[in-house]
Amino acid sequence: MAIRATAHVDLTNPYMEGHFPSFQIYPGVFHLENVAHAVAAAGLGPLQLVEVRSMRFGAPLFAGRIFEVQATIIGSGEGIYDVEASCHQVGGAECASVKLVMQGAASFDA
Amino acid sequence: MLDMPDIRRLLPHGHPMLLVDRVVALERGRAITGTKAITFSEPCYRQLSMNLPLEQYAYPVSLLLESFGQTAALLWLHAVGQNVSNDRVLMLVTVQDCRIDGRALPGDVLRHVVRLVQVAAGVAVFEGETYVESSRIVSVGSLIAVMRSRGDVDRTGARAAKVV
Repeated sequence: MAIRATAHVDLTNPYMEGHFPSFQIYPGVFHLENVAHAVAAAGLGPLQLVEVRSMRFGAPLFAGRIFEVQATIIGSGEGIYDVEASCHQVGGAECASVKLVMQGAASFDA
Repeated sequence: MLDMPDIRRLLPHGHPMLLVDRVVALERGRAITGTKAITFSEPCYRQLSMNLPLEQYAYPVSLLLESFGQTAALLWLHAVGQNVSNDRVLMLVTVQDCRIDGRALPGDVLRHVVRLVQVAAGVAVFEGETYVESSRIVSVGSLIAVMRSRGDVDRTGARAAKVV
């Protein structure tokens, strides 16, 4: 399954104020949430992130920029999904590439 | 041990993105243990609606890893005696082999145990774990960070917006 979503670096996100006070850069780790939200939109039910196989950061994103998430989801059939995603500026360079494993939301309660 | 004034002298992050409250153990240039208390008053919880199940209150993994990374940065910056500077920026480059085995909730205290594996030419490699009480909730196989000049970051960001 392949999905595609767009978002923008929102100056009203309160965390931007502290990253950093003297100049603002979108926190790279937030791409994890962006990918997770994109995957959630695929309608696979509530999923939890259980593994970050790799997460690499490229070009920094400054406030106001628009970026796109492209993700490929491969299900194992046991409620476990391998996710490979790329976040890049629209018409620009890659900001982050991630490889994740997500699974059913009750996984930590067992 | 490092308290908030020391931490703020070393890390450039500001409220609410400064995600280390205290350093409780520090072996210069080798290992560090940092803590961060999670509360419901943090911005990540501000849009949660009522009547959600407990799992919806799990602290975001992104912020958990940022907090881990800031603890790693403190270990490095303390070792080299680098205070906050407008000219130098520490940037996260990669995270690999990171397992998330549990979750943290408001009221929990994260305890990051981070080791410096290697450092050379402005690149540092770390590994470690995050605990809530005695339970390990995250293990990080490797985290790589670089020290860059502010000018480099500005130029890379501006170029990135133009590259097709």
